[in-house]
Amino acid sequence: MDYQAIWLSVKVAVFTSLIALPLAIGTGYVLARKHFRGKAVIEAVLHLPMVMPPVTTGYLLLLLLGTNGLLGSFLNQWLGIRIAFSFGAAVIAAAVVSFPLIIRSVKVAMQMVDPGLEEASKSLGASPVKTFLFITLPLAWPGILGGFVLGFARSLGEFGATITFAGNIEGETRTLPLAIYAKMQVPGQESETFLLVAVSVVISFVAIIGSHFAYQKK
Amino acid sequence: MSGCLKINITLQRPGFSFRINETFKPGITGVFGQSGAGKTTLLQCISGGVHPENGYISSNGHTLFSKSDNVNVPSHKRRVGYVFQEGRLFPHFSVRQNLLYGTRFRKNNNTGNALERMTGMLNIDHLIDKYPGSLSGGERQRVALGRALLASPEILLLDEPFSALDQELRQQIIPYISKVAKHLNIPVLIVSHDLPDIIKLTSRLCLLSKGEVVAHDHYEALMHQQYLFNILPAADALNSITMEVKSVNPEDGMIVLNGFGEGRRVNVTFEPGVHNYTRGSKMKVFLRPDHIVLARGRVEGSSFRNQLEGRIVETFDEGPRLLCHVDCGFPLVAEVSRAAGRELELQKGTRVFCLFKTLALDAVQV
Repeated sequence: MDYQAIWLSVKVAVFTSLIALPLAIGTGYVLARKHFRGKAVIEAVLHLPMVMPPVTTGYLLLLLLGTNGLLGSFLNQWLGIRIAFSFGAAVIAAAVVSFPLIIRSVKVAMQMVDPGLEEASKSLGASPVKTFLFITLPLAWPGILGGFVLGFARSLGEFGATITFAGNIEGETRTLPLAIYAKMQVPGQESETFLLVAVSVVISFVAIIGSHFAYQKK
Repeated sequence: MSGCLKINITLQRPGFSFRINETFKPGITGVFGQSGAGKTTLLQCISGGVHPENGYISSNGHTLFSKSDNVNVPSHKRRVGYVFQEGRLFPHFSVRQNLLYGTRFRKNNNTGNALERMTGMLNIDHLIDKYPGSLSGGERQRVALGRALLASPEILLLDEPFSALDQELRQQIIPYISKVAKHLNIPVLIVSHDLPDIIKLTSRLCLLSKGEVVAHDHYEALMHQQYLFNILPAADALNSITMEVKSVNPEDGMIVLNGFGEGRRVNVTFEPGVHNYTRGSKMKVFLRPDHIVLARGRVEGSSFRNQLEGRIVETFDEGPRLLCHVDCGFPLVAEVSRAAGRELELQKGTRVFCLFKTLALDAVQV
């Protein structure tokens, strides 16, 4: 079995979730609690990768961070960093695609926390940061955890943006879905393909069950 | 003055202008007004939730807000305890954790003793390990009160603390608030649209109407101002009289109160065993103006236990009703229909008897 692909997928998903979660908590809090001009536009842009074809997302990432891209050429020329077609690119592609899912979950969880409790906390002497840490975060935690699990599962399954932006390099960017796709192209690899599909189903199932329990704890 | 809360602020909102210039002394002040009068705005300006446009707020000599000096202390640094309508206990914390929450952020607390004293005083020691979800409305409010007090506030604000409670629970929590306030020497502002509840706690009232203070005085003095009746629903007006227990008759469950001269006796019922009254103790008696019957002479052969003779000092026309301010040795406001007033020729100087049933009286020990 292609353990390398499974391990790579898990690694990408873990990195993705760990990078996306703190960002999503911050963004989700701002979206849930603050009112400002252009909020709807920002929200729409953040949610775009959820509805756009993943290949489009990958292509846009390539335009932005590719070696000749807007930001990528700068990074390459001045810092010698090449992002596209690397493990980092696979993480970025998965993060961009799963970010809206995590944000959505975190935002809803934070909206469910009664702002009156935050007000009460401040009246008892807790600063806004401490109020966030002791009141908002623990009360929104089940929803945040649910979002984390969903984001993790989405990154495991990421295909379109990854293959466009990170390529299909064995041992570096060939994650589980890409490995399944690669195996399908080769005759006689049906049982190997089926095993990878089974692993993929099990991981997704565990993630959904995990997310369900996280929500139920509420 | 030390310990005082001084406020002189203005605030403009579409369709609402708020202007207040008052000093609140230590002790309970009832803030009363109809909805939209600015009661909650006042509390939020003090707590820091709403920023006034002009003026200043100072507590115990410390400036909390000053437009001219560009000072605006954030709410968590103001030391303003706030007890909300719904309690707002943190659901993921036990009662103990809720009570101690504020002590984490404010130093110089003798937590151990203070917690025990507070739980004892509020009768919540048996709830200490429970979670808010399993508490009754009255218990929740008591915990919220204890939590606010343990954070050592310099000002305590109670925003409609009774509105989520039924009548029975209200009567239960009022003595606790009263007891706790006596131990504090800080300004306590209690907002309510229910006047009877407020005046069971304090006689010091601040009346708000359309964003302005119309009066700030003792209720007994305000009771005889016509504008009180302009902002009060008829059923909320209440006579409040302080009297002394003259004799107790446990067999009939009756106490006789005395005040303002020998002839001014009032009979009040009580439940023997539940309440214990002793001769000489002071009581506050409450009586609704529309529960008083005015008669031109003493009525014989009736069940009215209380018949007080007095003289009308003032009458006010209030639509179909006539408010008669009667001097019975102490001031009493009686409400009759205008037609009845005309038939009985009730006017300034008329001698009348104020009749009321013993059961119409509500009394609390002070």
